[in-house]
Amino acid sequence: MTPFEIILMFGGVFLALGTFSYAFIGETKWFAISESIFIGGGIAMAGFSIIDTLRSQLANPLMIIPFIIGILAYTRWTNYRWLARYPVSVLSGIGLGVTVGSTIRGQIIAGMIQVIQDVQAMYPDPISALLSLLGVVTVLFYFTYSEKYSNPVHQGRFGIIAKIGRIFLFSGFGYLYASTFVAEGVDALSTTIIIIFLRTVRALQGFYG
Amino acid sequence: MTAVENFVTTWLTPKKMAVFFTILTILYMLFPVMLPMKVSSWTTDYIAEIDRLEPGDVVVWGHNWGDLIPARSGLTFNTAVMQYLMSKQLKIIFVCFSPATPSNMYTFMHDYAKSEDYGYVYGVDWVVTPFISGEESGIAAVGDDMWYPKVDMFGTPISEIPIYQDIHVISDAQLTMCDGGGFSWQPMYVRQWAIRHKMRMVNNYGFQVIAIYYGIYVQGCLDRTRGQAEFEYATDFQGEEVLRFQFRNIGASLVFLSVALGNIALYSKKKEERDTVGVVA
Repeated sequence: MTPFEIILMFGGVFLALGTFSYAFIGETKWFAISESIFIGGGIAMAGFSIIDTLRSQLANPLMIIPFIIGILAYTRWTNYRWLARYPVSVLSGIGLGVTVGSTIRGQIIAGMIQVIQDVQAMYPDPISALLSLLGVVTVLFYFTYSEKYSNPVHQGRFGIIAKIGRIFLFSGFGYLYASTFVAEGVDALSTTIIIIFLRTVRALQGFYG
Repeated sequence: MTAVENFVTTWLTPKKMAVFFTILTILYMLFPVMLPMKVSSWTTDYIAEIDRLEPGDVVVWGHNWGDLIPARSGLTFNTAVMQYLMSKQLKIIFVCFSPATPSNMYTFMHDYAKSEDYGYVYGVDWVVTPFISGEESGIAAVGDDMWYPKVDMFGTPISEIPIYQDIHVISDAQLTMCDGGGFSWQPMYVRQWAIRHKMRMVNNYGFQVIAIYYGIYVQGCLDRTRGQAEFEYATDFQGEEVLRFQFRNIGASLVFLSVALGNIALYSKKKEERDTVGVVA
């Protein structure tokens, strides 16, 4: 590392400690400056990248179509606000068209086939295969919203079906929440400490040989 | 009120806990207790999927690491993976779906993965696309036509970039990787690349997001909380993840400790309130 890079690194450490300081000493000017630089830097970086992209794509005459559709979104601020419905409709249509086919194939059909195959082969073990089947069936029943057809599995003698489905659902949510929390929350602390302390110490060790 | 309840409810404030946890974690960083590690089947599947490839094969790596801080941590936990790919002489196309991703990936290759040390040349062995907007529509467009961005991140026309000469649609590549933040992004890659184009895919983000596709459309996964550490441990490409994994162990233990202390404080307070109401009555 050059001396200039070392100075930059200490600048970064100072700002990182500033953002981290919020947990200990609350909102200070140090925190506000660090936060503003972070947000401003991110926006500037994104701005340059978007300009680069536009520059490379605008040569295509067909880009006039998305450009017009995009501009229509801003008519919401004018008396012609009804025109803003068009970009929303186009976006929704494209979104559905792009995702629906693969979603049905990937999330519904493939999943059902997998469960059936696992039950047939009792894979990975009989208990797990049967639990998967039970979970899939009961959760599907839980998501029946019709009053006429869903009441029998939500109330009365067969109400247990929806209850079991709910247990499976919440087990899934619990796992999802716990793993996300560990990934985001606990990881943030370790990442900050590595970036602030460990890398600084290692960089200085490298600089001074 | 017992001594423990008294300590938790009166002395132990959130700020004191934060200071205590930080000191404990720094101490642990200085004197880490490297616990034994078990490598999960998802990680071994991931490594096997890379080992299946021949030198010169192309990997398309979809990325949307955006903001600065996630990008920093995200970049480090891909270092070992990237170095492993380079040791296998695989070619990499980084496809970027967030405005900050192109510069992040370029920095990643130079500063973290040290591509020059492996003799990797930009344009020949690896390339970074510019930001491709549209999220899932953008992913779909790249799947159908790898030349869709027209230029790389520096504005060089794709027709002049050697790595692209045999890659026109995504199925010309041999493996796809998906990475980057968010629960919604990973299924997008799976839908548009793995399902639509029947591409083999591995995931670098986390198992919880692609669990329903695993084994059918996704052939390997580095589960974010521990997958990268397992990868480093199993392949011997040492980065920072093994150490961070040890931090996570202590961090998770502290979470359980906090939950226990929080429960003691809550029930002590309730008990105190009940007793006060009883006295007043």
